[in-house]
Amino acid sequence: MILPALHAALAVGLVLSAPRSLRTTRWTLGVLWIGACASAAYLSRSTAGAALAWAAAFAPLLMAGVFERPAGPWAAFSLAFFPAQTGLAAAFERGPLLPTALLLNGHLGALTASRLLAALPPDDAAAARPWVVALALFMALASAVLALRETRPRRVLARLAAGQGALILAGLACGNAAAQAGALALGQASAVAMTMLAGVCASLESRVGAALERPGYLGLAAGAPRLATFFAVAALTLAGLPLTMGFPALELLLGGLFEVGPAGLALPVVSALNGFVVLRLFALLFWGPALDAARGMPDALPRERWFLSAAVLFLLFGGLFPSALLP
Amino acid sequence: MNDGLLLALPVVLPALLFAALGLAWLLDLRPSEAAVGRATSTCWALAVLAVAALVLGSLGGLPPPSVEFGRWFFGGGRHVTLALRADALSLVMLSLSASLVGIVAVFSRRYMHRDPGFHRFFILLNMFGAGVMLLFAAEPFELLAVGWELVGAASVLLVAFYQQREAPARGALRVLAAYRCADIGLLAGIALLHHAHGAPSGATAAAVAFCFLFAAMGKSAQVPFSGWLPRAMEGPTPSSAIFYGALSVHAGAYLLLRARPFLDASAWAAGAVVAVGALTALQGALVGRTCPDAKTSLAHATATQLGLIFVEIGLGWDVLALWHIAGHAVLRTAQFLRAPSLLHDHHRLHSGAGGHLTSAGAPFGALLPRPFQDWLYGFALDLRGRGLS
Amino acid sequence: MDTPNAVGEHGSLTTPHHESLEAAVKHAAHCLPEQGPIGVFIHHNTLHAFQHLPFEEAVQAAALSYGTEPFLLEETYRADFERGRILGEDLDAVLAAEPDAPLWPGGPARRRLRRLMLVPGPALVRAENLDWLLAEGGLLRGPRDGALLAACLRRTLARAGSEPAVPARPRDALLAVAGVDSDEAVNPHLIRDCSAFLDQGVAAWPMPGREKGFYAAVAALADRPLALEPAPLSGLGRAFRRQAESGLSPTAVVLECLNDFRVPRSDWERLLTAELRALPGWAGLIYKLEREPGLAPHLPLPCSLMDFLAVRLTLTRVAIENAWAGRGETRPFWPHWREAAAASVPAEAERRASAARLFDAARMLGLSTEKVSLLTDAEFAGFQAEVESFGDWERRRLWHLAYERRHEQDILKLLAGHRSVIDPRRPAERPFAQVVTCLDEREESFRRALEELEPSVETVGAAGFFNVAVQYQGLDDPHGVALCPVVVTPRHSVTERAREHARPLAELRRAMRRRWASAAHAFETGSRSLFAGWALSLLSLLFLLPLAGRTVAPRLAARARVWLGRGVPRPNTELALHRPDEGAASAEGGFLPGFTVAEQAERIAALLRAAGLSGALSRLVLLLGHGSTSLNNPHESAHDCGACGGRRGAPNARIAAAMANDPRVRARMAELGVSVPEDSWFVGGYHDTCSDEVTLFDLDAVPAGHEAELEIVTRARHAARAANAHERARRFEAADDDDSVASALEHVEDRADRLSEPRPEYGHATNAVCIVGRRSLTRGLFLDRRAFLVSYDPDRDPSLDSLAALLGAGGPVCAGINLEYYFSVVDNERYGCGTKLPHNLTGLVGVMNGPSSDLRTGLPWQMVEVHEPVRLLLIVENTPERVLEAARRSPAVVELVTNRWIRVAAMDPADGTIRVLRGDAFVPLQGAVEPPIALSSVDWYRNRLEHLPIARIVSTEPHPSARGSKA
Repeated sequence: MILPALHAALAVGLVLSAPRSLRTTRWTLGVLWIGACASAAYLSRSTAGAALAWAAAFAPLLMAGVFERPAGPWAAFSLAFFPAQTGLAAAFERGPLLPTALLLNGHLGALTASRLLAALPPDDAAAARPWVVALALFMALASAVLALRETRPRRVLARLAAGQGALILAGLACGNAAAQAGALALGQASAVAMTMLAGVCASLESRVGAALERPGYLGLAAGAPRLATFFAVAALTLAGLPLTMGFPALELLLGGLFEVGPAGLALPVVSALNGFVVLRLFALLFWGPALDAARGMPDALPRERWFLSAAVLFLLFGGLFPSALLP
Repeated sequence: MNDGLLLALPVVLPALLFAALGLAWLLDLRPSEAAVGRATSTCWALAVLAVAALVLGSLGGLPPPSVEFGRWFFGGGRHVTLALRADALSLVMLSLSASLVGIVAVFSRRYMHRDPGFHRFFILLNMFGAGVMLLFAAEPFELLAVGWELVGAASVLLVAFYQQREAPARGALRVLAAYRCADIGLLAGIALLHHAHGAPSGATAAAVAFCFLFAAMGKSAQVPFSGWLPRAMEGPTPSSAIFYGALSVHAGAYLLLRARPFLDASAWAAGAVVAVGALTALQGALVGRTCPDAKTSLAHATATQLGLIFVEIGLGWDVLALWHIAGHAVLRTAQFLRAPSLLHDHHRLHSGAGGHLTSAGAPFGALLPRPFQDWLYGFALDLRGRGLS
Repeated sequence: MDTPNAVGEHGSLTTPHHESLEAAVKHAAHCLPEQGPIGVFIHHNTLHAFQHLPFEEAVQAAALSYGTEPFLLEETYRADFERGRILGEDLDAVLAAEPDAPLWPGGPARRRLRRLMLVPGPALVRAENLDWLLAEGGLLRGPRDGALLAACLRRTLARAGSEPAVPARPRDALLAVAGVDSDEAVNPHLIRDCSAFLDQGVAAWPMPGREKGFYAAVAALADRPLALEPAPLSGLGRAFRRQAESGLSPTAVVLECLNDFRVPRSDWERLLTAELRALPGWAGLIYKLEREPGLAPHLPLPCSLMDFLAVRLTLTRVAIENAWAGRGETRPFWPHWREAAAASVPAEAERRASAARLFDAARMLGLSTEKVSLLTDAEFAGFQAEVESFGDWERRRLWHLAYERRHEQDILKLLAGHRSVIDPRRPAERPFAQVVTCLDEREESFRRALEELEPSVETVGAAGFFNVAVQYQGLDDPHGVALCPVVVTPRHSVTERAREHARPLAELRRAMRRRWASAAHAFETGSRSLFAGWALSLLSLLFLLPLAGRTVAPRLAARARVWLGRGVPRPNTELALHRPDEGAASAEGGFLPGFTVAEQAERIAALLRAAGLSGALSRLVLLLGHGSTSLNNPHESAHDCGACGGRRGAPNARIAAAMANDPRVRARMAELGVSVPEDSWFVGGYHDTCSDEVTLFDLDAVPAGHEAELEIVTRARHAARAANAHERARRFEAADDDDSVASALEHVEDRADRLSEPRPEYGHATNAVCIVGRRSLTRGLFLDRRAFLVSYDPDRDPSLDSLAALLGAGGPVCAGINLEYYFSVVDNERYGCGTKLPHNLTGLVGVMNGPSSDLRTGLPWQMVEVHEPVRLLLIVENTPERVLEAARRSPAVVELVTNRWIRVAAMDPADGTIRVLRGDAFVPLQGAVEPPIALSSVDWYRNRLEHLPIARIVSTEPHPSARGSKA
């Protein structure tokens, strides 16, 4: 029940805190539409309803002109066949950052796929289950390894989204209670964390423009220490640091996957790689000598600070009292 | 005050101080340096007193104190019991940590004075303190993993304390890579333990032992992972002292001491511990001799002694290993805190010795032929480069 | 990888190439820092290579080539403007000195535009943040702003794109084209080799083959069988072997690399400078030890910059060829690397940013949209050029000149005011006692405290080595060290030896110290080795107590150490000072053992004559050398006496006093026209500026009649030392609040012993002014420890010999200190060595940041954080013509004065009018202000942390501390 409310809240949060240069009326309507469709997808009982809402959530990305930076047909094609890897990076890189991140952070696709699995007759499902788990874990490992090569923010976020989605699918497909709870916890944690990462990246892009794509260490912590802290908390959540929601999610998933078989050992490797990749992105963006383009750069604006603080509190609450948010 | 509460105090107090200072920083309250310094000193003074009381209690024959706060529900039927227990091993490590973190806290009040990162340093120092006390006092392995990862995160963030330069950032990522890789072993070991409901036998016990060895190798900079220890010298001197001289590096050895039952269960794992320890000791001694600067020579000396501690644990001499850990932690902390005075000290030594201090030269120098010694020096220099490049 | 053939046939490269290469290297090396091993720290002008240019041009030229900051940041100057450190009138005065013209016929004047662009100052608009400023940053405030911005946007011309510069060195091209930085592979390898090669005894296993030179040693190590080469440098051994087989000398290797890189001869120097600037610290140290091998503290080594370049270029070539091959590029790298253009900001974004800046300026001038549109294209382009020309550096230059003008006006007006109310002539009656200290600005507060406590005492400022250049070996020193300014080389040696009866005690002391040293050294190396380390760390738990004690209660720990050390006997000693006239004329071991009477007389006479003391000596004269001892401070030597070559001046004071007390020397001096009264007695002493400890030597030799003076001077000395500590403690935030004098003294002593104290003292951080004149001119003035006080009597120096000597020796030393602090504050990361907390001392020669970085030269942040970076204001009490005439006698001073590296003012000894040197003419100072009156120094500085203006101390009743702490 938490996920739909989470999506609505995230959509509204993004609309309120996004940089003014992005917030055209069409952009706002597009984001709110995606949030609504995602919540509907989670709420719908039947898999058909979920798939329909899932497709509707794509509409703004496909229609030209809704967002100022069109996602492009190739990206849209790949988003439809989630969790396909290749087009995802292009979607994040060329498409509008915040709407794409909002759509993909809750990993509707993983939820729909697991619903499909549940709809199968029990014995076919039991046979298919280990295969789906193995495939999902392999996709997670692949995206983590591919992420090692990326250094620029948007492409790393794309790989991370794919990796998290695959882990959630693995958890849901497992079928036992611990893995189910772990997948839901990871779903919530990565929903909030991915949106925070995308939000901070969007704020930085509006502040320093194309300088964000330069190679090497950009040293933006000098200009924006608060944004750096929010980014760090989200990154540590994805890395599974205790006291954040990432840790219980990881523990539960690990416990659940072990029931299914030794393939579960891939999970700590994937989470270690994901953690390293996202913290390296943090280092590349915020550590190092200050960029002269960033001299005199303003830190988090009050509206950004409120939205991100709420997200941090959610992650810490989830980390300390996970059972309150899970069945 | 029953001893359970006494045991909880040194763990909870630093955690609360860390939370308070972190919140103050986020809300931009800007407490004064004196306030932060005094709060940290009193917090750690209380921790030292609490642990001292516990030590006196246990010397006086009291049973090892333990306290249980309740269960930490994860949902989905999984929970972790929040229990702290301090047997002899934990008490030694707790008293060592409380006193050394206290000393470094007092040292840093004046040393970090007027540094732009003063508050960030004390937030991270208290985060590390809470993590290390939890690590040494935790009863279930999951809770130990929580302390373990808090120490890792604080260590990475303190190596990159000087954010405005690239070398600390690159060094911190190197440390992060080693820690994340090693933590795979810890998580896998805990999962295996949970799978076997806490009493693994035969093959699973060996697997758990190997997983914990893999985790300990990362944290204590043993051979395959020993590249990060010299790179971690980028942080300010007190953080190098308390992390890489005293406590963070010995957490790996402590984990192996805790995993004694699993090590006993498989001779292969114990053998592996001895092998890894011996290899690290030799590499550290060989490379450490070529280091001409204060901090990296200490880093390699630390790696050497850690190797010997692993050998002692592998051979089962736990008491000797514990004594060695305690002595070594104090020695290195003192030497790291004194590292900036190397010029002053060397000048006094040089004038006292009448102008000539003989350098030891190659290991077993007299026995080896000259060209082989030069080759060995080149080999040692390349090994050192592998850590630094 | 194809290696194009070396020039000519192998090995025998034509010699003319060698000469031009060596010349290019020598010229390129000019850009390297001058700092030698850190054990002896000599303050000097960081931009000595640009000293032939005027100050404002030199700092901007250096900033361009080194990528550093020429002046403080604009935000710092603006904050100073808000708090009144810079006034509006200063800005107006500085702008008045700049050429003025209307921006366009009938338009506003350039001066008004510039004044507005200084205060309130333009919006910081750049290509990257323009969108942000438009959307959120509030660039557009008023309703009409939109139209004005649109008008500017339409008419602004894109700036003529400067043709892309040829990359300075191959690494820049590789980074631009392939995004790979070859320095990431080259620098760590080179740093490791340099630190191992230059190590003076820290590593237990020194680098083999160092005697053959840097290139040979590194090549031998790289060219080993089964070498463990890092991937980006694979094939390094083969490259060195190929060079060895073709018998190339380091110069030939550099030549071959330059030819293989296809660098035209005209560009050699630019490439070599860029390669050296990649690791300026290490290259600078190797170049310094190449020219002065004696500076190496323990182990002289064959250093050569050409060796360093040979190794660096070989490493760079291997790294670049590996990286280029790794990318699978077909075309070779070397022929085309010079065309690679670095990425730059798109021209259109740059145009929009300059349009926004133009709009901001137009709005500040109050121009309406119509007026801007009516401008002709030429006028608009002129206006745009005018706004663009007043960029960041140009604004900061004017800010700095105003910053310095406010300081100059405050000092000179108050000094002129003080001069007009006092009678500078020396008081007729003979002073009760005299104390001669170093001219160091830290002694200003000590001398003022002495004179406040004991008005009958007169203090004198002279060069800290008391005109005695000597190679001195103390009782405990293994070998002699030179105690004199760096520019002077001593020809005489003096050794300290135990007195006859104390010889056995001295022997016992040496044996005990030797045993202690060998035990401590064994512990140090043992604790790092395998088996001894194991044994020692088992026993080390008992170190917890001393470690806790030293950190929590350092004074207690220090007292315990002194108590433990009392077992070691301290024999009283004498100096082997005299050399009989007919003694060995030739120098044995390079130095003449001791001084002849003639030599002693000549030195002491010159000292007394320069300080204006000949014929005006009191019964008791104290000579105080100075120095500083502190823990946890690799830059300890930077606090010592600059006149003693970065060492402690105690031996010089003791030797000078012994010389002056010798009746034969006094007779000889009388012949030279310097009369020393019969009843005068000199006592040598040492003032530790960190713990404020003052020790006097040879007190047992003081003749009977002087007990009274000695007792009073000793009491005054103790009280003065406490008052001095109290004044210094006001700047330490950590000093506790109850500001009793005793607690301040305790606090200052604690700082010298505290292991965790990165700021044992503030050293020269308060230097700003150098006053060369009579003490009576500055007596009773509170100068806030900011003035070098050089005693000089203009009436006794008709031939200007004394003034020329003082300016020649003191000028460059004080300017060196001032400029070192200036550049270490303006850009502490590149000119200075950053914060000292992560410093890692390497090889006893320097400090690095962490395990592997360039050698950090310059001063750490903790030493310069309170410093106000203003150029030294030299005030000479003599007529302007005579000041210039004396200055012309020393080329160094001429360059400093004419290129405005120091500011000069002359005060006429007769009527006290002050004229300030502006460009090449002296301009009279307008207006004089009488300094405020304070009852005592304490009343003036109590509870105030910042720099304080000049005040006049008129103390009617004795100083509180004189009553407080009894001697």
